[in-house]
Amino acid sequence: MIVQMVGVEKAYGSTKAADGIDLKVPTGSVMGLIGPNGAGKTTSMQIMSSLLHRDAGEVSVAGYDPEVHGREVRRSLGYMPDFFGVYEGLTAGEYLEFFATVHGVKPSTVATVVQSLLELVGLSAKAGADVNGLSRGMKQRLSLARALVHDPDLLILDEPASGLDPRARFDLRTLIAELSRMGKTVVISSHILSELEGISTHLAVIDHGRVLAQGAIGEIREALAGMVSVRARVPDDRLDDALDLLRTFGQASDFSTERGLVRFGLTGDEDDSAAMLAAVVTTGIPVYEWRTESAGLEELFLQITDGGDD
Amino acid sequence: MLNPITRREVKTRFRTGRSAVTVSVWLLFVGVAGYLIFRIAQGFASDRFRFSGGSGVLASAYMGSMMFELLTLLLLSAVLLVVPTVSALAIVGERERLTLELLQVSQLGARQVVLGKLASSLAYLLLLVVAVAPILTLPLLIGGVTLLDVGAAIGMTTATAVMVGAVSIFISSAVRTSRAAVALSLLFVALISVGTLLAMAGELFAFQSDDGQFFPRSGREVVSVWANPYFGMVSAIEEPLLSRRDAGAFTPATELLIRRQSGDAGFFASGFTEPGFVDGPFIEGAVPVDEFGAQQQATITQRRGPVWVRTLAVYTVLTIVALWAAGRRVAVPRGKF
Repeated sequence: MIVQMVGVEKAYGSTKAADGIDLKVPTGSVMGLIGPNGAGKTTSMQIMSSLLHRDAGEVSVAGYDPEVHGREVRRSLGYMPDFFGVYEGLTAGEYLEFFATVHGVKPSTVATVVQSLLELVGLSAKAGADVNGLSRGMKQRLSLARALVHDPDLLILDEPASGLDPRARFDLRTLIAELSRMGKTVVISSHILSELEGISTHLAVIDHGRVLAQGAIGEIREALAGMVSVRARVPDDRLDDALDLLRTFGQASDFSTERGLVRFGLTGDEDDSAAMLAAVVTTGIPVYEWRTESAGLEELFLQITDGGDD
Repeated sequence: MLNPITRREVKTRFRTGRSAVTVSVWLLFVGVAGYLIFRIAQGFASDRFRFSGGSGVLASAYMGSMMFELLTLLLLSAVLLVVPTVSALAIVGERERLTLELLQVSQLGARQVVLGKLASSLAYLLLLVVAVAPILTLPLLIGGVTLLDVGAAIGMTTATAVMVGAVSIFISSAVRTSRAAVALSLLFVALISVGTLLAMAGELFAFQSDDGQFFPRSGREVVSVWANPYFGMVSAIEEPLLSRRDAGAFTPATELLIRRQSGDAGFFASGFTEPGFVDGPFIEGAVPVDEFGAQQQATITQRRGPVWVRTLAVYTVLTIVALWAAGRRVAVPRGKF
């Protein structure tokens, strides 16, 4: 485990941002931290990055306690906060050069490091461009390059896709996947589940300052076995009838509707799903589409956080 | 190796057109002020030495001395205005640009961040001083000023700049907005420049003797002026050579320094003329002059160490405490200190 947090607590006045966080990040994984705003994701990341003092608990990052051996921890990790800090009057190349220097990269290798990082994030052509003039997506990629200047084993990315357009989001996901292939451990937070789906190998659901569930995505799915997601399309004017009928089945929950579409979670197997479909058809409601799928991250998240509220 | 923060700030600051404009305006200002000071000193010298016949060298020395002191005063005032406004933005500016956290998570320690910021603030000041160096050295050519005087003035200016810069950086690390940081830093400068004078007045009146004398025959310490940059400067220039050089433009402060050593009675007994006795500018009170206004030798009994030593001691303590406290504010993990 490259990161281990046990019973970590942090309070701001009477507000508990971390209320006994237990988290394990396996070496080489891409750990997605999911939780709503204010859940404690940033606090956890800042504590593991040695930026924030914890009130209680134990933390180990690359074998060091960030509070005691901050410099060693910072040498092992690259931190990308959820904002982009700009120095006026610097070009993208100079920006990376500066951060390479403050991260202790040898002066003789700084130029090479900067060049290869700009290439990695696809900004070679922008090396001489003013940082302020870059698009948001480019700034995020430059920010990622900044976190990589000292070649850390662990990357901590706080909401990296926040505010990006779909193209920039795709580029960022591709980059993170590439970093994972290079052997980096990545801890990435988001409150938008779809951003993490497909790139995370592991998942930790955080809410109210606690980790409600964590592990490999497959393990979490197994732990929540039986939960499937059903999507049914019916005529818009019969939607309420269909909804009333489906609600009578005890295994169905978490209903949501759109125009002519109803989604719900089902605790059961395909036979249960078929029985429900038959009941709807029997009442004379036309069913244009009935699809049963394994639960996505969203359903998992909803199920886990519902449990947390209990 | 130069601190990376200092290197970056120097590079970006001097790259912009704003620096060129600032330096040009500063040069113009000092040039005009230098010319006016030259004319004022010329007028005073010509008035003072009008009966001394053929004492052109003395007049020139007097003029050079006065020019030097007024220019030093001007430079010190510029330091007291420029350093806090530049240094006060050091840490709070990083916080507002959202770059402080990026530095905190680097291999730079809090001490390096704070010292780098101090150095870059002082580097800017250095540029302004170097730019006006030709004007400042003019009195050396005119006479009445020694290299020791120049060294003392530069030393005290540097000590003042470092102290004000350090305190401003601490303020910058402790507040949330640039505006508050600049306002508090300037308030601090006002406190040491003007506040200490008010404190000095209070101190003198509080210890006034029954017969109305502020200083007993043996003189006495005036603690409230120790932190005052102008008294520190006057002391640095005047006190080491008090017995042989003209007090020039700083006489009111010099007079206090003499009374501090020799008391009210000792001030007159040591061969100094009563203030205003000699026809001429108000500044002639504290120098021994003959009937023609020529400078005479005088001996001041040094009963206590000069003020500038105390000023340096106070500034050193303030600098160390301010930098240490700023370092604690910048250090991570936050909330531990």
